Amino acid sequence: MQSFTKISLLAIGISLAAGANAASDKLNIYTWAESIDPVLIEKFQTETGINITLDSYTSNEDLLAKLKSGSSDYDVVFPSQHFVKIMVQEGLLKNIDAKNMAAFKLVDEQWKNMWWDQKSEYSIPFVYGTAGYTVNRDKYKGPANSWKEFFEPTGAAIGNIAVFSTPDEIIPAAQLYLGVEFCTEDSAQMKRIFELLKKQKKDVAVYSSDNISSRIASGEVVMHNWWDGDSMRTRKNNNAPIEYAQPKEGLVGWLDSMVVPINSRNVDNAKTFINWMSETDNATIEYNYYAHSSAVKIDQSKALHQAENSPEIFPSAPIKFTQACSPAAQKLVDKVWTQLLQ
Amino acid sequence: MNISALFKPNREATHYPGFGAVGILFFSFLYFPILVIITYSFNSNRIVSVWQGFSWKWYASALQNEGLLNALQVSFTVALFATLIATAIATAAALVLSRGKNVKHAKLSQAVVNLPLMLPEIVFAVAILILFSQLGIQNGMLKLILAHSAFCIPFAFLPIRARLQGMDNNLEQAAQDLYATPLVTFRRITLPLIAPGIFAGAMLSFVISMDDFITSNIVSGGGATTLPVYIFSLVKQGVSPELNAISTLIMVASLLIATPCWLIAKRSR
Amino acid sequence: MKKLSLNFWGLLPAYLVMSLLMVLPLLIIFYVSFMSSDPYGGYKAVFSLDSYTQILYSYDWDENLVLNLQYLKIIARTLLLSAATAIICLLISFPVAYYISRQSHTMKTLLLYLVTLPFWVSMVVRVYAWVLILSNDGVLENGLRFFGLIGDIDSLLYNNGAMMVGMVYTYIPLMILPIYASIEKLDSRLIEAASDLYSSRMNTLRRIILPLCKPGIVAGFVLVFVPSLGTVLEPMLLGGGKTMMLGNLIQNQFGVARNWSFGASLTVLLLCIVLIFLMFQARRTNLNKEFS
Repeated sequence: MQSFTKISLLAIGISLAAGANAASDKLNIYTWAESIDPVLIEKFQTETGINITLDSYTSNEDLLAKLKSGSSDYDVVFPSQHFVKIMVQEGLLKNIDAKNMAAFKLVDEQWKNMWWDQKSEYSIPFVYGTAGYTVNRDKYKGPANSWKEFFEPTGAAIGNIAVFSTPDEIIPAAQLYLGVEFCTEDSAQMKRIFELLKKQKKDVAVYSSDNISSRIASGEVVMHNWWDGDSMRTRKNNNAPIEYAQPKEGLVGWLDSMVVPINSRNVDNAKTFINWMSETDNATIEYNYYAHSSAVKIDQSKALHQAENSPEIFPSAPIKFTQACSPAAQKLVDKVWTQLLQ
Repeated sequence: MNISALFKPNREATHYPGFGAVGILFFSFLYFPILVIITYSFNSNRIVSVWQGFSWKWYASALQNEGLLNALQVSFTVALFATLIATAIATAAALVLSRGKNVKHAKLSQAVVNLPLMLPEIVFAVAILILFSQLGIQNGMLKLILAHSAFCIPFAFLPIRARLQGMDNNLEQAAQDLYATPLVTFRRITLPLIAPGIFAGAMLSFVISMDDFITSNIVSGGGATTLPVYIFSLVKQGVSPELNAISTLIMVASLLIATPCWLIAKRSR
Repeated sequence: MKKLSLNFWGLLPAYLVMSLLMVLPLLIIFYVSFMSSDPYGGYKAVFSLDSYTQILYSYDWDENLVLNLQYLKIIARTLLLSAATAIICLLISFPVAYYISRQSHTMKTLLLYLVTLPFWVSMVVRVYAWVLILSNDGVLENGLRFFGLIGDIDSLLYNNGAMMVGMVYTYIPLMILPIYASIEKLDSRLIEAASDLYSSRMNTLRRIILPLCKPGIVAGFVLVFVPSLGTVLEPMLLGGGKTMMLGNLIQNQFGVARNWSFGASLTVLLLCIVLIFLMFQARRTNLNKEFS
């Protein structure tokens, strides 16, 4: 029995020691699935001695829910513009005095002091892009230049569509198609959105934002809601027979920023990371890996994705950025979604 | 008809034809999935379900997977602390409930200790999420340890109490007759006797904690991803031979914990 | 007096942990279920019964309160699938437990070990195994095609059946063990006596064996049914997220749906279902006896 006690004390000692030495050089990052180049993580850890733990999510709603539970223990997260606004309103973000950070000088002028963070206190823009849909060209030969094909499928697409699992980008897409204002508080207009999605539902094979690349590249579904850069790198890296559609009604625009949750316990490490990621060399590596447009300056001579080989991130379709909806409008969005998935 | 047959015990009567077949089918059902996982973990093909050839490479890549090793460390630390806390609390409660005299509200106390068994786990998970968010506890490890300690208590309690009920208290009585103080009696007599029960209870808590998904998934935060939560995230990303290798390694580990535990429980009966 | 205080100190930690980490959180859930929801998650400390009316009624697009059966359907599906899981487990477990009890001592030990072993393997891994077997181009589909039994078929995954297989697989050891325990206690001379009196095998099973095994059967039913009610993993991985169960619905309210008070009211509802069920069963059998 005594030896048992000794062993347990030893074990406690070891795990306490393991926990203690890691306290100050930690950084917990919560980011979009497969968004940060593992090479960069490795490089950051060797250069700064800060240890990163990386968890991932696939929707802004997931991120908001995690932060809202008040005890998520993350240090850097990557919400899109309208969620930055909501999170600031809800008091979920730390004022990191972004405009005086080294990273801010590297931000492209067009993304400074935007409506979601007018005084540039909370956020450093990271990457931007669009949400649209991708078609598998082996299975689907029809046109892909309108949201019509996605919401009112014909031919091979019937019954073989996959849609994002959360309403954040799919409802704005439906609004573009029907010509309804984003974040409308008009219940009758939202009813039209609901009816469109309801009609589409019988052709939806799955509502999912996980594991999209294998589902669309393998042809398990022929159309999938997706993001521009993700679609492009699957096309380039895996030589997949896919095409990112250019709907004439418009693509749904987003910009992800790096922000620090209010409860972060490693704020200095978080700022170090944000500055480091924005450095031109690292931002270029990230651009080549993630394939979304960079919101900070990159080294064009090393950039793999140029306008001539990257129609996805240099779209011909117009782009409309999502907004932060009022609580009344948000309620309507949630109502459409809960009624749709019942 | 042979007269003597009437006087023999009728062994045939207790036999139900077909039950054996169900038994064999059942064990195939139970072990087929496990065999599938193990077999395909050696598949050299990236696509799990299409066999290409034998290979160890997924084990090599699993053992170098940093996310996996981190998750393993988190799970192990949480399970260790939760087990120690739960076993200590459960041992004290079991001693009182089966050895204490004039215990008031014994039935109620028993129900309180076993409370986690009565609730579907999701109820506990969301309740504790709200509690932590109200208290503003940030530390992910602390949250996991607290939650796991609570739901491991009955799993530690049951084997210990079974052990206590299975042995009479003559020895303890004798020791007390010889003027041993309660503390000495406990340390010299009771504790060694119930040690196998405590060991079994601790092992059971450890496994329950290591395996927990529902609660850990809901309360986990940065730097506190447990092994099942990590595996779940891999499953969501799709099937892969590396995932099979990871699962096989976990099964081997479970086997190594379960077998001695089983043997000890058998011997102590 | 001294004894009493020892009793007190021995039970104190258990009471403390259980009241702080189980009872208090449940009370908070109960409280939150009567508060109004906040569109971005969390709750507002304003009394409201909305989260309860929401279970049955919803506002239509013209803001009229109308009866809405969607959540009732999920609750009914949860009850049905859980009951079906428990019944299927029972139908398989009884013959298996009986079969094991007729074996030699060594064989018995071995078989019981084999029954418990999967229980020690992580639940996520066990469910993952079924994803592997049932998925598109998975083991089962390829196997059946190899033997020429099927042509091109739809995925075997993402339906109620797949979910049930997963649930039965997860919970069946919890059914076999208590039934086995009660069969072991059974006096085989009773069966022989029945047979000597020319009772048919079916009759003996129905009149003698099953009634005597009832405590074990009831305990097994509780042990399978109650956790099934809160199933989360199987619907997510095997049900494809399209067919929800109560556990997922609750989890979603605290996740992407961000409606804590509704989640809390559903939790209270689930708790009531479990309590009613347990009270109903407690009349017939002493639960605690069976748990040990």
